Amino acid sequence: MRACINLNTGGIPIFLTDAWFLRDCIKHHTPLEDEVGSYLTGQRIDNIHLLSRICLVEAQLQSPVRFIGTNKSSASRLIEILDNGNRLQATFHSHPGSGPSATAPSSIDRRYMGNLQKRGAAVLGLICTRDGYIRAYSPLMRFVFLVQGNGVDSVPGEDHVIKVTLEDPLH
Amino acid sequence: MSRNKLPVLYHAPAPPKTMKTIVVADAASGNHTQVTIHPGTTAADVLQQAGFIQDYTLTRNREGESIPMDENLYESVPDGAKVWASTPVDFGTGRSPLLAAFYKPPIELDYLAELLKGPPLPEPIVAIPPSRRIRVARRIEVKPSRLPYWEEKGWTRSKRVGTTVYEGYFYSPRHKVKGRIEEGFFTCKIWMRNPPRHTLQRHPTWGCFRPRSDDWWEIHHHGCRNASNAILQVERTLNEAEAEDYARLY
Repeated sequence: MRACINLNTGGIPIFLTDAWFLRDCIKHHTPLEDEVGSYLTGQRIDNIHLLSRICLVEAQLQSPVRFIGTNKSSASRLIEILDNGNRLQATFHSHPGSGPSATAPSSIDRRYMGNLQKRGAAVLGLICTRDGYIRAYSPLMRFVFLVQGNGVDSVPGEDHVIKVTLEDPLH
Repeated sequence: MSRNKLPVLYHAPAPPKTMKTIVVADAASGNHTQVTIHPGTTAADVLQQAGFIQDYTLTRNREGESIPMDENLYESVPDGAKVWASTPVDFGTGRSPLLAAFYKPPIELDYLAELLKGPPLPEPIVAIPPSRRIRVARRIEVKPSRLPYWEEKGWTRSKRVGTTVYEGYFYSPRHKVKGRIEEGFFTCKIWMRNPPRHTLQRHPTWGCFRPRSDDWWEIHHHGCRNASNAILQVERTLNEAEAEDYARLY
């Protein structure tokens, strides 16, 4: 499938990824009941941000409703991303519960993303649930979120929420 | 040629460099800030004045631990060094998992996507070399926060009725002597435990040192306005006495 979009979005960042990668993200972020958080990175061409790599962060505090990374691990992963010539493109974490509503960002999520965006980082927030729903959010920045691939559908009545089929879409 | 007429080679010491310039890189955005720091500037000063709020910390490199907030960055970081500012990942639902399942988020108009039909994407660019050149986004100058001298030297303060008691150590190049200062409304009493007699007894102010009980000596210093002033005066006396001692011996 080839996406046909108008690249002239007035400078609004376009975050582009594929369903297979998102399926992998859900798998990596939901091994147990606790929340897991990570950075996503990839190449960037003008205002197009490609999400293609997961950089997991070690937890300082981890529970079903909270994830705080260690200072050292957070800094180390961010520096590693920059050292490889990339930028932080998005953050990804899991939420408890199920359904599209469970992917709603909390005040903690918004504050953290707001802190990053205030400093000039064009970063998108992504939240997943164990049943395959993913929400994209951004407190201070407008964005376009595009997902290419099989086994992904938009959720009617929800902004920027998609449903990813967890099993192999061809079987 | 007499010895006195030998040419004197005098090299004027280079003036001490009073400021250092470092680069603070925001690890999330990749933006760089060039920061000029003064002696005594701590990591907290840099973060605060460079606008890194809340949970931000500084790191030297990928493998390093965070730099402590009270670390004297001017002393520990070389001129021209690069440090990284980052904040730890922090996510949370802020509510119970049960409630999370029924939570309905507010509708956010800002999230409106603009997906329009248009021409096909251009052919992919095969390789884009990452830019290694550092572009400094802005330049700032950071001055250290002004702590009182007693606090900077690690003295502790406790309040008593009508007086404030400071306890800590007087420092000189060769001595570390336990001290105590009682700061009243009009007077400032200075005490020193086991003063280095062999060093001080040739100093003109040795007469101001009076022995009291338990190895404590009281020092009569006139004109000490407060504890910081008293510590500075006593340390100056120790420095002078040591310098005289050194000159006499060598």
